[in-house]
Amino acid sequence: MLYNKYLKMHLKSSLEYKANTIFLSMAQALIFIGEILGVWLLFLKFEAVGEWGFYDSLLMSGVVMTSFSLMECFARGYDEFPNLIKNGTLDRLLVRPVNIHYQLLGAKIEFSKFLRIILGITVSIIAIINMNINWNILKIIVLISMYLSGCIIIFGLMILCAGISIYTIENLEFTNIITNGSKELAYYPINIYKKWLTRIFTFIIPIACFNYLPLSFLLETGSIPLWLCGISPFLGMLFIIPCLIFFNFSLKKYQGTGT
Amino acid sequence: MSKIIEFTNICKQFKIPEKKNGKWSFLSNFFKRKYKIIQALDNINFSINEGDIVGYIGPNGAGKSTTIKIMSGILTPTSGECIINGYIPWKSRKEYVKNIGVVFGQRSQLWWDVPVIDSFELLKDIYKISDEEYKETLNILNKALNLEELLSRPLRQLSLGQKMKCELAGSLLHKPKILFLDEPTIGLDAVTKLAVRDFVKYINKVWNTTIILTTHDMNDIEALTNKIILIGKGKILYNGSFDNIKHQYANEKIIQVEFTKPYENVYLDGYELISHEKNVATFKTLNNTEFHTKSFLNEISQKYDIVDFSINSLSVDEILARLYKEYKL
Amino acid sequence: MKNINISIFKMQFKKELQYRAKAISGITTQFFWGIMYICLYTAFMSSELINGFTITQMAAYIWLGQAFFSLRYPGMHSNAGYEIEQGNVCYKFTRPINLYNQWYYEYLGEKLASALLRFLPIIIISILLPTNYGLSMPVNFSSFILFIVSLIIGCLLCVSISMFSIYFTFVTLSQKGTATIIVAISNLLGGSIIPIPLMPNSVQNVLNFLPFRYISDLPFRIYIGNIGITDGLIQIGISLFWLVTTILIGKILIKKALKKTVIQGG
Repeated sequence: MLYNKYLKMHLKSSLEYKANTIFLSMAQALIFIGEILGVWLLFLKFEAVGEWGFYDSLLMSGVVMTSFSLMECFARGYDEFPNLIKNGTLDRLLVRPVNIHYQLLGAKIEFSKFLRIILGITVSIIAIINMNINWNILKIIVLISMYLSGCIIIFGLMILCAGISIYTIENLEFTNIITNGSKELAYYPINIYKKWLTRIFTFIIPIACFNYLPLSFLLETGSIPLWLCGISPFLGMLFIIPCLIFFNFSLKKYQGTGT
Repeated sequence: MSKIIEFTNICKQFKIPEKKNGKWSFLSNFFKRKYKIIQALDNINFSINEGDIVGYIGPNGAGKSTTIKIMSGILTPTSGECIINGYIPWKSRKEYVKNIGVVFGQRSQLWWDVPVIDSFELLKDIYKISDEEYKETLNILNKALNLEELLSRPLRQLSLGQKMKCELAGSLLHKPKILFLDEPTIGLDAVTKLAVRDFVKYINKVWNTTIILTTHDMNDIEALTNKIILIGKGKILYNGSFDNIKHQYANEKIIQVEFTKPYENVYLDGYELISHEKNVATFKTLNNTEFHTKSFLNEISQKYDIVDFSINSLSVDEILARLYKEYKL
Repeated sequence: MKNINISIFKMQFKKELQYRAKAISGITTQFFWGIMYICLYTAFMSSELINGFTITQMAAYIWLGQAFFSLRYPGMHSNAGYEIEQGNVCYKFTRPINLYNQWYYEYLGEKLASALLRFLPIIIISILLPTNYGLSMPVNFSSFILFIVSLIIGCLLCVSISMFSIYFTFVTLSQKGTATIIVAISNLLGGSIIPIPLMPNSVQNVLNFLPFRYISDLPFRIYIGNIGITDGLIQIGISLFWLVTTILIGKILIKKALKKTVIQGG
């Protein structure tokens, strides 16, 4: 399959810079550890926020970090889309007889995110061990769907940002707020925030669907019907559809203006 | 011969930010920015026959790369029609691009850190080339370009000329019917330039590939093309054979004369004095008057004592410079 | 010598001004992060007063951090990093200039220009926001003066700490990785991830002995009145000590690294 070949090629080229990849990987893991230490320090001082404790937040951090790093690794082409426009790679992709999304997924695979993926999973496991959850098969399904949903929603955000960058070529930084901001907020169960912010991140950017909603389901708490919390990860996945539509529309626009 | 490319009334407009100049302009540019519309392509019409090699020339910013981008399906024009190989490039992109190859002179399509052959194998999958066909094509390209030793090395270890050879091979693996070459010889050494030119001619002959080539190197044009399209300020200024243009300027001669001793105020009726230094003077024929060696010698030797003289026609580069000047580009 | 440094500084400054879109997007980014952090810490600070730190003060602390983002964010002098990574740094030896100073002034210029372009809009917008979201006025005039002084020292300190990343790039040959590590450490220990007043007291005591909190935590807390005048003066003294120390260490390290590069032939 074509994707396998892309994967092999990327692996080959990052092996050319083995030391660099490993070093970068550790550096990025360190950033995450710093952020987790920040969460820990806050809870050391305040013990709890609303109904949530440290390990609830730790699970949220683990989920978002795992899915975010997975997508940064495999959907890097969307993350770097502004660069692809600038250096002409996009033009190159457009003269090939393969679907543009397929090519974008193959355009860049960033192996230096691997350590963060492992850290994300580790942090999740530590959290789960320390949480009081009565496990059953449904809960395990919901737990797994949280990661899936996280991946797909974050992927949607990256596609959205790539689409926006077609209009604002120079603004690398701006689109970062959407992805990185969402990530940072999702280190905590997001219903701790003011109502308006929680609403934005439930109904517009459905971070809640891999965050406090399924968490409520696992812990059987909260005022929202549990069945709704349980299926929320699956509802959240739909988010990717409008993102894809927007991206495809913007790409047409790019071909109209050609920057 | 059948027409493979047809451009009808193609126009393309861009909106670009306007920059002011001046001491504090970087500040005012910072706070407000005006936009202006530029007409990159203004009613472009031309057609190209199958199997032609066409030089697409013009100064920087004339609209060359915009045209190439439209032809390769990357850009859609503001208005007009374009049919290439039976397709509208930007409408049925995926089917259309199967039959074209594009080489952007300064950008690589190959992978920097992996052996070139791996990049080729990837292209094989991208274009869904069958094993046998791939082998056969690669063999042909291999022989024509002498790639054998290069293929196992990563791109970053290759010289500029070697890279270009691999680049050319990469864009021909799927045997495209049309090949777009955007400045293929830029920065290459003389030997590689010749090799690239020979190769382009060879491919055109064996596969009957239609080739559209943009370049600033007029020797490319002279060596390769049977037809040129001259574009300037978004308009087509000339479309025809290069020999015609050469013929137009054929009458123009530059005559350098060496005198026995330095003269002052050198002057000759019917000729323009271009330069004069001590005992060497250079003349040019006036607008389209035919040059006769005998009469020139008669006239000049009557006035001055001469030791030596030489007659030169305009070089290809000079002809182009003349053309640009004539069209005020 | 002075003149060269000033013209380097000016060049960098002008270069930074060219990128209008970058500045606008930077301001927007900073603004959203500001709101986000305020929402986050407000959620935690349900009780009004933590260590004599109110929600209003916290909001001001966050906004100052956003407004002077580039002054407090140690990073990597991108040109220098690139030159070292690519081995082009030896060309620099052909010029009659102290490399440490050149890089220092270039980076300072980059930071100051980007701060000057961005701080006013963020300050203005954040002052207009409602209480508990917005930026409050400084408590009094003398603490405002002290704030300015400590901010300038903090900015210089930030650059001198960033200079270490140039040294480590010589060692690791990876500018991105090095910069990432320095940023991670100084952000956590300098109060950019969690404001230092919101950390447990024992942790705060440790951080007082490290240089990082003198970059931005000190000036911001002087501004909001969380640190008084006398205390502020003493701590400014400490930050001066760190400034001199980090510059000296940085100079020694870079001299060492350059010597090695010359011997190895870059």
